[in-house]
Amino acid sequence: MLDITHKPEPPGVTVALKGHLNAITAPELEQQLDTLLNSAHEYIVVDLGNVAFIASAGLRVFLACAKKAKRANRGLALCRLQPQVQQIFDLAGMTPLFLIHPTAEHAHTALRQRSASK
Amino acid sequence: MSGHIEAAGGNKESAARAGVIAGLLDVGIAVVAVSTANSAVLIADALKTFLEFIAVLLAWLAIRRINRGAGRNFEYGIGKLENLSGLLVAILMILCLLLIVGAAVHDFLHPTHLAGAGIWIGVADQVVFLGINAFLCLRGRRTAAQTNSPAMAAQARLFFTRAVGNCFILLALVLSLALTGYKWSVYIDPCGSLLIGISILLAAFGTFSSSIYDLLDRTLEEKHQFVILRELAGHFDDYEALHGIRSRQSGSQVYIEIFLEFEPTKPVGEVQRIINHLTENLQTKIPNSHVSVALANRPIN
Repeated sequence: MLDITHKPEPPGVTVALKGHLNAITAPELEQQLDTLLNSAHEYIVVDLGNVAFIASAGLRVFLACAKKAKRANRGLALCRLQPQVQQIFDLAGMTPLFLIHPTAEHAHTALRQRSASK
Repeated sequence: MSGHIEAAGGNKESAARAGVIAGLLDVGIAVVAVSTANSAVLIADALKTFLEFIAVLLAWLAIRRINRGAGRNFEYGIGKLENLSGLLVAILMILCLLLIVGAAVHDFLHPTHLAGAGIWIGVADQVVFLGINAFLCLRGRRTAAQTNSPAMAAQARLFFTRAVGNCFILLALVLSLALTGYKWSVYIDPCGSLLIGISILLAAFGTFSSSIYDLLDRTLEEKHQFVILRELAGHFDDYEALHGIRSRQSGSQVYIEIFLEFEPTKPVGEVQRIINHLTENLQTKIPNSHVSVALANRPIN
């Protein structure tokens, strides 16, 4: 089970996840991130503070979305990764592909500055 | 790469062929021993040896079929022949177990002392085949580890079971002969055969569960999914979009399809180089994997 909530914080949006990100819940997250990447939001901050487990299917969603964000010239950042989740990203060699911040506020500030400098 | 696969296939076939020859010889000697003795444990051993020979023969035929078919026919699913032969080995082991239990019950009901020249043939047979089965078990284990083959793993277990069986039969025959002065020694023969039966039951259970598990197509293990993701993350700047990954495991074989989109202006030669690099890396890191990278411009579900 994965709860996905959106909180618009113009010019970006925070997507907060709660639960397990696995093969069953990953397609729903991918669909929602796709919609947001095609919306007017300049960047997306994904809050993983309440995600205790990510399976390979979940990582695959992030890998595909990182590509889509790059293509659409949108910012994508992750925040509040629990140590075991951070370890999974490290294991898959995906940490260097993302902007990872300790809090959602940090992520928004960094992405806002990045947007402004474009 | 194909040279490596052919060499592995050749090793498996040669190990299985050696098992067939040894099994045929064992059946011949066991039949001679049984026909000149009154031992129930030797009768059970002859039946078991015959069934084991059939099982080894089936495995050899399946491996031969796979090796001959390689590169010439459509190969999807042919690896299942190995698992099917493993399953058949397990069923034959259960039949053998029933026969051994039947013979042991008969001996308990009608006990007699062992007699006949066949007993000595049986003793010599057990000594020789104990050595042969131990050798084939070790060889099978080595080959199974090298080729990740469920059929060879089943064969190694089978030879181990046979070696243990040889030990028990040998012990039962020697004790029965040495302790003929005691009344209770007539029960050594059926007891020995029951112990062999237990070892066969355990081996059959292992072979059966392993073959059933391998026969079912299943999703790739997480550790291998991570290897794929790591490789794609490493090539992050080489492709334009990741449209999907399909993977499945069938027997010992792993099939992976990756759907990527490349920049339209990227030269075909460059795209081919990236695909080759991805494919080779994954096939090296994931044993028995067949990787194909397909071009796509929309998500593949």
